[in-house]
Amino acid sequence: MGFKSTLLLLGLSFSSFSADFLFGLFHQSFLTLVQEQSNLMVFDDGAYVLNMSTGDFGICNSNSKAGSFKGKFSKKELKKIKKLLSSVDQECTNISDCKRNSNYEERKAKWSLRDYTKKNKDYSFYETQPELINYISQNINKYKETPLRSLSLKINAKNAMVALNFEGSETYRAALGINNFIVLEKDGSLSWLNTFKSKKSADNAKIVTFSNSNNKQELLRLPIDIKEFQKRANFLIYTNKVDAHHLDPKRKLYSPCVKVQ
Amino acid sequence: MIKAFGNNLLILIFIYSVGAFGHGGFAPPIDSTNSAGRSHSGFGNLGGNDYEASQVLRKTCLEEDLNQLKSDIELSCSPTTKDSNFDLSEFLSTGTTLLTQNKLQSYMASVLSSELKLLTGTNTEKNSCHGINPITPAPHEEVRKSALSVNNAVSAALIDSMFSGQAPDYQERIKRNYPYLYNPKDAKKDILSVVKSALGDAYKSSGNMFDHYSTVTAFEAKAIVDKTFKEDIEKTVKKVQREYAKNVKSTLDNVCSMSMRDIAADYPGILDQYIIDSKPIDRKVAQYSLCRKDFYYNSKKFDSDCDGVKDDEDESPKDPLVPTSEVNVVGKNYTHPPFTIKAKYQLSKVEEDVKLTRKIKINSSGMSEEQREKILAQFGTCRDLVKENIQKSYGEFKSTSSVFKDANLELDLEFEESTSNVDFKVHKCWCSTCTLKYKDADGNVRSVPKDTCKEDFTPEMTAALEDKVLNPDDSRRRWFLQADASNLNEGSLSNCKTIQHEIMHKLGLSDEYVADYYPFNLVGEHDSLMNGGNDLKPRHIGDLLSPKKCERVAGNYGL
Repeated sequence: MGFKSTLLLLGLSFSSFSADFLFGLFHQSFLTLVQEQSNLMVFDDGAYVLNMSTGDFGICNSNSKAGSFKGKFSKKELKKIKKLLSSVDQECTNISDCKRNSNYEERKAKWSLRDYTKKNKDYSFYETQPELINYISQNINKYKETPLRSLSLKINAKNAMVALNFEGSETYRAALGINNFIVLEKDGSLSWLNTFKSKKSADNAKIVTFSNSNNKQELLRLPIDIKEFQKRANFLIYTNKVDAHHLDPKRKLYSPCVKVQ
Repeated sequence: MIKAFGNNLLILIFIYSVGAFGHGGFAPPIDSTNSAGRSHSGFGNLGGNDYEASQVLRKTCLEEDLNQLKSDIELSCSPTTKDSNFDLSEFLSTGTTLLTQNKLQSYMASVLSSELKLLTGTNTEKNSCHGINPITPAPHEEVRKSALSVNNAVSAALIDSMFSGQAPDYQERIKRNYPYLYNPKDAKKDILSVVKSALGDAYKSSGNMFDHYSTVTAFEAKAIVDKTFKEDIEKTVKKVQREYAKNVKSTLDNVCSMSMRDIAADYPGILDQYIIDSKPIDRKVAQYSLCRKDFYYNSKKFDSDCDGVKDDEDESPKDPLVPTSEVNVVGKNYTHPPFTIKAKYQLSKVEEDVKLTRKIKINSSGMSEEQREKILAQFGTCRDLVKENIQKSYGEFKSTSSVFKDANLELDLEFEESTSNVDFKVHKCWCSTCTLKYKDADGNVRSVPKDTCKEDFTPEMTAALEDKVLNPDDSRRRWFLQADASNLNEGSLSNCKTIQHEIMHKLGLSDEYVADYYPFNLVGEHDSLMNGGNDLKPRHIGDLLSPKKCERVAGNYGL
């Protein structure tokens, strides 16, 4: 390798992103029909990547966007976040159900935090969370300004139409049909929308490719009695069903939801 | 013998192809229990399904089914036998093998050509053998596209390294989906070293599945924010895939002369996919030759009774295709990442019948006696549905089994109250996804515990339902009942599907759906209880009744 090429390589490495990981925050809910996985990876220069399969930590925050997002915290916010991160270890000591270095089984339906600034700092929280998680949780919608790929839902009760909206710089392939919807009923149970079906319709889903330039919205008419549906349903949830996983090369399932009104 | 048979076979291929692909009435009707026959209806079935294919083979490799196959083939071939000097017995003994081999070679040429195109972006001339039009490998292409993506390559390589030697079934599936990670051997090491050096402390590989999830998440995040890293890892994966492409090219050059046994041994995924993609008559012909013992059985490699002694040195080897009737064993634990499932159940032989026993441990502490009774009654209803489902499937299973055909299956699934090694926790109230914040009497911000009933709320918790500062989102200011897989409410037992699925886990069945921690293509039928559907399949029963498993040997068809 000659002198020039060495210089070129050095130049490349200097111009590349060199920030280390600060922490990773994970939340999972293993529900009966929907699996929620959310995570936020933060770098020490403030850059972050956020993934939210349902749009929320948990399920169904009305009209919240599900998807993958990126961004960068302001210096002020990063400073605050670093300060909160530094106090997590002490908070863990004071929180009765905080666990260090849990196994996978123990991580179901709760928070996990991996602090990459210190070796082996790995926490799990159940009912009570440290301030860092509270802060992020309260501000989560602020961190969705730059979607890589995001989906949201909207219902038009007048004509029983549901719209699946896309935003983002990347593409997303998904299936859309009556079998791609789940209902959170008012008693808290989850069921497939097709069990509410009152009108004849084919169940065949179409495959849609969303992109920033071509296709930002897809509509579907719901073959249900909308008044009956409104009486029973709390939220309508879209899911790119598991057996359609080949549609998205990155294997990401997004399940946004919308409040039924 | 085969050479002399060649001219007749060519005629047969022609006539037979017209029948199988063109006109109805020639091929026998599709076996309605054979789910592989409908595996490509609709977009949702694009995934290859090695499990299904192996099981179809297994099911039909029993002696009596082989006879049935023979008569099906005789029936299908009858127009040919009338019009030529065609020798049916010769066809059954050698022609089925040659016919399947030729069609398989042609199919494989097509698969490899399309794979090479995906790997290198260039078209190849060879995409068939012997002038046979191959069945379209389009579904196979979808699977390959997914397996060639950089994200999935990293995910699979990481899993393989984390669970090396611990979960052979799981690793075998990854091997089939990601052949380029193993060919050249250890190619995945290059990929992992690039990821490891870029992620630093965020690279975790202790064998805890959460490590896989957090490491893949960190990898994806790094690739999004760091273009140089993204290029590096893409380059490395492409390099590994290019190396593999050389192997594919070399195989493609020779494919038309490969023996069926070699294809089966070295490319079992392609053989399985061929069986799935085939028309029913092709599948039957293939099965007839694949089921012949001289094809599947290598006594030097196979330890059919799992006693550690290969059959050629074993004084009393068993036929590997006949399930054992000596069922008096304590069940199994298995590692199916990310979950280690304690599937300890007992199988015992009661005269000619089989008895399966499993205690289901429930923790309902904290509930009143009345609530406990109610919940146990609901559990009982779900348990009865499980039993019904198992018996129904057992009926189908035993009809194809020479060993179990006269045996009844007794199911002893009793409940037991326990606070240790609990299978299910039952709560009076449980809201899995509620995240209501409140300020306690000392002013500390807390979350309302998920097992709190609304009627037991403290005044501070009740106030939180209106507190838009602590709970800015509307959806957080609410409280209701919502179960998850391990924590149940009274109400959540009204639909038994989840409980049935979970109980079958306790009996050793694994998930068949796809998730990011299962980075291989779809396994199992779409209506399988373990894949979000309602049905148990005969293969599930085969699993339950065959708790002893030993390592598979390549070419022996997932027995």
